[in-house]
Amino acid sequence: MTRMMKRSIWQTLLLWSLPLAFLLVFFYQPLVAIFRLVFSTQFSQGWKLFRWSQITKPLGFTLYQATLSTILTLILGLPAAYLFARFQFAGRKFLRVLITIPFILPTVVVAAAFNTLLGSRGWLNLGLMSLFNLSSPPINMLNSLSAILLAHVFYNISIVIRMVGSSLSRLNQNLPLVAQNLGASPWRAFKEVTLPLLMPSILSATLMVFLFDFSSFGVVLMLGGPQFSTLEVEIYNQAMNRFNLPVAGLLSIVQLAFTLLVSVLINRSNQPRYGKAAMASESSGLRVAKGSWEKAFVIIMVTVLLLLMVTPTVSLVTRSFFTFEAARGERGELNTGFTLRYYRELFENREQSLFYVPPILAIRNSMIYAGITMLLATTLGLISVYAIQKSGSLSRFLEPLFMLPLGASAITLGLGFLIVFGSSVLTQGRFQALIPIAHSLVALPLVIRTLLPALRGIPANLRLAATSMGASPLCVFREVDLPILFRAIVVSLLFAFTISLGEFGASSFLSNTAMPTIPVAIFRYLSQPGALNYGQALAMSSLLMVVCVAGSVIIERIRLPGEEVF
Amino acid sequence: MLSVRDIYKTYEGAPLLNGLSFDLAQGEIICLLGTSGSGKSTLLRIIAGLEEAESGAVCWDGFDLANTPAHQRGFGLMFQDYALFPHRNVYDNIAFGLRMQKRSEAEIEKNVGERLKSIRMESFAKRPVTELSGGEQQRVALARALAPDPHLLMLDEPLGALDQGLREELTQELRQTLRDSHKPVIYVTHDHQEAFGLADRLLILHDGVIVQDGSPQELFENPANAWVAGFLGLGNLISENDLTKGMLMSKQPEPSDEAVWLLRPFNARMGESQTETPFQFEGDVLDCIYMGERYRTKLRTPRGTILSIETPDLWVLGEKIKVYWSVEDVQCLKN
Repeated sequence: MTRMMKRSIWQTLLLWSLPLAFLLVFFYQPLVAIFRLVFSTQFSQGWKLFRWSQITKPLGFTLYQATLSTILTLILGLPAAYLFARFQFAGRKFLRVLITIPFILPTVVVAAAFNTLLGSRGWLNLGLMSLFNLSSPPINMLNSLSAILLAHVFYNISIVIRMVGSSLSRLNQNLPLVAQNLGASPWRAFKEVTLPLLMPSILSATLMVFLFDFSSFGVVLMLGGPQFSTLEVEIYNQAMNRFNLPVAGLLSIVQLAFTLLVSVLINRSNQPRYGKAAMASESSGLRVAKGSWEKAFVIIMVTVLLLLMVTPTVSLVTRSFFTFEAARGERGELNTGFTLRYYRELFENREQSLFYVPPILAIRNSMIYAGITMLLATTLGLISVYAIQKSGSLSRFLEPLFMLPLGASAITLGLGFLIVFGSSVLTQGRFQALIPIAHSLVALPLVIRTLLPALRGIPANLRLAATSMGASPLCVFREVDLPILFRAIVVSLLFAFTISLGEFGASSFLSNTAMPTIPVAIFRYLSQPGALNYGQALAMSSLLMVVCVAGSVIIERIRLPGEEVF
Repeated sequence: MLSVRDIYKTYEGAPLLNGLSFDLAQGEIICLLGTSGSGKSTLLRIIAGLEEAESGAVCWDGFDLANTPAHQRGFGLMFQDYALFPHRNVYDNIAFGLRMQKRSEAEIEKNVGERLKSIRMESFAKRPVTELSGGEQQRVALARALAPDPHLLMLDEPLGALDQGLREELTQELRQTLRDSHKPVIYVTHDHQEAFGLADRLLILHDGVIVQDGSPQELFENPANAWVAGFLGLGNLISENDLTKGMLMSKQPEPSDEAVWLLRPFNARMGESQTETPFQFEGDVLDCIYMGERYRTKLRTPRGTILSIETPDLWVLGEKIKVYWSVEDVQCLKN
């Protein structure tokens, strides 16, 4: 008996050791390093030049834009949630799928998409220029706060629609009706009954959206331009452009403190307060809009959502097939029309300039990183969920340990890596090896959230039955666990793969000039002049978008019901 | 008082209420009986103004309520699932209607206090409604519906969610509360025993119309058609095919596929009839259940008809027995 218990304790410890070691070395060590750097005297000369405004200014702007973005997202998202929860209309299913797409798109893709819509080389400006015969782009919405806000709404509206919409559609519809029956006008019934019951989910969605807006990096960097910098962008600037690691570290700590605070609030607000009492036994039926007010509401909402969701992505893809440049040697003569050139060029190796990186190299790099990330994150995830499962009541304390990387941003991770591994004598090659590790850390919490419910869903009796029939532990794993976990494992692999492909924050820190990933290459092409660079960025973004959308469609298809990561 | 005229309503393309009409007098308790899905709840919602009928009118004292929104009708409706506000405690649930009437705090407190007292739940005022038992929820829902002093009270299967024992206990209590309120009441249920115990008048809803309207006794003695008799469980419904001998009654209408006979279990007589009757059967005992003073016995005739009878004696399963109904005890009903 005691020997068996001892054995199982050793087994649990063994299971714990690998993921814990990984997290200690690659997550907690960099985090600690940032703290040590900031609070050490080593960089005292850096501190002399330090002004508090270096912190307060980006923090202020971060809070400002996150608040504005969140409010705008709610203004559009709450009616949209109502639309989906209550009304039946043509194309409802299609629109529902459409709305979830932005959420899985890499930031560079979204930035590129908005660039093709609003940028100086975007459709809007091209259209206006040809319409009014202008020689220069008339509107400049890029590098402005509105571009950032628009992209954030585009990104996060699905959170509001999903979270608030699902609790609205499950809300017992008799509750507002009984309020009316007791003498409350429809508006009063909404205010006194529906709204308070929806409040927990509205609050959760708000905090979640705020958290994403707060830690937004790619969107702000690429759409905001140099005059806007959030904490994340400022960390990047300080570390990469000014080499001021202590200030970058301090910013990281401020950022971390805020995200942790918001995460704690989210966890608090997530607790269901009224439980089943507010829920209908079956989800309420949808109805067709009646009366002119409802019809107008549905038409306006569908139009707005379609415009917001479709135009950027369609604009990206179409613009990637459209050339608009002066032909060689013929100044002023514009050569416009359909082209496949940008896509062809992706696979051609031109050595034009010193800084030029062949796109095919970036694609190859990203594929390798994504492949490694996929295997590494899923393997670590599998071991971790078994460790969590085995530790019983202890898992309550151990689980958050694995979830914490979700709270730390990829930028912080990149910075930490730079501090820990950059100071020692490391060659560039080994630096490259850190990219899939960083990606795995980003993917790990999601992988665990996918695998854990699946593992917990396996009845213990199945394993006991297999054991009683003479199966060894390994055999039990192969014959019982693996087939049941198969779907969840495939979902994890895909998750990790798409996350790695689209990851921009940590990669922008860790990839060197000669060896970029796809998002880093897109970022670089976008920020360089020339139609070819622009076109290649768009072509790459379009391809990346297709891969990510395909990945998420497969994930949605094979995922078991009730396993929502967000 | 309340007058419901020619209500039409379709549900998913099929007619649900098909020109339904009835009236309700002051202080009268009527029970609306019908199978589930017959449109009972929908009718209550239409009267309450929470749903619109495709045509027809709901009138109060001769005044058409078409343009009166739900919250101004002053009709209380108690939902089948009680629909207690989960974010409010017992007190605030009951006070809701009074607050909507903009009564003073003192008045509300007095009124709610009385309501709580009448349902013997004074100590529950500050409890969350989510912690109440089924019976307690039912009481609070009733108190909440009565608190704003509605002109009319509608109850949608108020005991439907409760288990058998509690139902019987609460039927008693409910009858008392409804009588004491002196309000006109529409009580919806699918359980005829509950309805018989409560109502002054019963309305039977079938195929979207009221097929019968009368006192419990009238319904019991003279069901309007075979469906009503079957729904109320009045006895065996027998068609010509089930009979052994040819039809010879002169006092009965012409036999046809349309007609069925109602043979009540307690009118069954054992043995062979002295006079000529077509309602003479022989069958095997399928089942014999002790019901107190008598046994409820089930027979299967050679034609496969199952007959339910009440007998003073216990029969052995499989035993062959003879049973008959005399002609005057049998009613002929439209199918």
